[in-house]
Amino acid sequence: MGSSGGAGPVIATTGLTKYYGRNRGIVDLDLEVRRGEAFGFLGPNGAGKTTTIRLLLDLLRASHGRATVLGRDVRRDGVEVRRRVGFTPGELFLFEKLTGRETLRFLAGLRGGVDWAYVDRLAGRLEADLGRRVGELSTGNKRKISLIQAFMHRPELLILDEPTAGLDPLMQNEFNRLIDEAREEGQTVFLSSHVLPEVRRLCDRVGFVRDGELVAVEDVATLLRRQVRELDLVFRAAVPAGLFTGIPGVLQAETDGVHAHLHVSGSFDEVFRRALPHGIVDVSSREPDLDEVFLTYYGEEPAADGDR
Amino acid sequence: MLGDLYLKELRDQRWSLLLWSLAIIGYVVLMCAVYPTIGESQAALEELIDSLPPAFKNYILGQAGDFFTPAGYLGARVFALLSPLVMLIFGVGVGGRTVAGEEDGGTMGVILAYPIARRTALARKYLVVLTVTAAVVLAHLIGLLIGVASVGMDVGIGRLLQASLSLWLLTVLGASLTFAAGAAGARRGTATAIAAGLLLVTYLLDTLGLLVSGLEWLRDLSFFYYYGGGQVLNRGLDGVHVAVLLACIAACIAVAFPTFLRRDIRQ
Repeated sequence: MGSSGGAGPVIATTGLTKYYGRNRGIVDLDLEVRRGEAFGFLGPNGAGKTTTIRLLLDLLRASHGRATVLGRDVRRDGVEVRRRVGFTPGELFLFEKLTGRETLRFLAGLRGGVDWAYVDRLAGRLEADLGRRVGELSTGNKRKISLIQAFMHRPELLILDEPTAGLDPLMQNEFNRLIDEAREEGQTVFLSSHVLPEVRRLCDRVGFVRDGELVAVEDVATLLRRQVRELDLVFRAAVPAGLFTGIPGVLQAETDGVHAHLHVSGSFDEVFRRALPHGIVDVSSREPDLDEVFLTYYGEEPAADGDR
Repeated sequence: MLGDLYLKELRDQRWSLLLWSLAIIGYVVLMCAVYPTIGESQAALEELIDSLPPAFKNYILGQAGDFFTPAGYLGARVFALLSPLVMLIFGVGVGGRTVAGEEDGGTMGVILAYPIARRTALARKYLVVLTVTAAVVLAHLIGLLIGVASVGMDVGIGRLLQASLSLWLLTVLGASLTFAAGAAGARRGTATAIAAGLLLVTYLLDTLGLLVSGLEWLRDLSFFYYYGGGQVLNRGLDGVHVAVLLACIAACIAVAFPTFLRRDIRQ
């Protein structure tokens, strides 16, 4: 493997396992992230996402298995790996007594210097206040400092652990644009999240983690096709009980007088075709939370699927 | 070449270091200023000391030698107990803050997620410990020089330097204990407790060895015996004692590095 990593995977783990005190952090993880892609690492809190990321940065040492980043062993060539990676942690620990600017100058110094004009540009776009002490900043403003330091050296790989937690919606949009631009530049993105929409918006592929295990890896396109939504309808008059039975993609349908509650995957066409004659008063659709996604995709026992 | 980590930590500590240094200079100058007044009560004090049980008398004389000479006075009042106590409080604090404190605060993970080897990070932090402990011992020496000169005490500068060196080694040792405990994975509170406990126990061993005849060998187990208390001012540095202190410091480093390089970093 060449020093630039060439065409090989940007992240590759084989049998990566970390037992963590009483808990198991991550078990037998086989993961491959391709050059230039944005990979979403999705799972509930405590599933093992942060453990995996900390293993990649050599902050934790694996119980078994190994990991390479950009073709380099994370253990043996950790310094070289981290030179080419930008990282924002989920938990924001920063130097409380330093100002944002002092923090970034210090961290840039650990990298042997960065293009300071680019740092200023990032700070401007994220509207980060670099003049105040980090300890006085809100979570959202600390998050901006943390994002700037991850992006500031234009790394080949961005490892972002819950990067938008605490950011207001406007800044989340700016963050999305930063990710899009990074991808245009050919940077690879590894992003952990516990919210599906964020991953769906930003990523090409998604790995589902649960209880320390990688349950499945899917293309986002496939995910969108198989996406399940909850649909609540209110009609002008009571509707017959079996109105929505037998429609492909309707996984579940309950009707109760003028109300109907459905779980629908794929197209809504047939549902609305049948609903329309009864007069629709109100429609609401809700994104299922991650646990429900798991249940509908993988049943009660996520690991039993064997799809790894 | 020292890198930003070293400079940042020095910068972080600049105010605390300045305050400690000023306080130490003030305290030492004050101790010297009091010296002329003890001459007036010399007779009464000598009588008191003579009336003490022999073991206790030995203890006092063993710590300082002759209390009424300038070197004896400084040895007993400054170097025997008060200065090592002050320096060790400072040193143990610094040693605990730089590794265990950084990790407790979560920022160790921030630094080590950067392209810096753990060995390098730890070495720079240890260099910080050496630097700031040297700075406060230097303040202590400055206080002594001012005090000695202003009261006109007859103490050789060479001896003051030697006693200061011994004091620095003890301070570095105290700092190295918390440093090593933190590097091995202890939280700051635990690391401080370990270091304070060890220091207290070895201090008691030294005292017991001085007080109780037949138990003199206990002193050999004490950091404070090798530090020399007030005796360095009277007799000069003992090369073997210096070597033992250096060996203890080396042992701390020998624990700190391999354990820190091998383990998980707490978040």
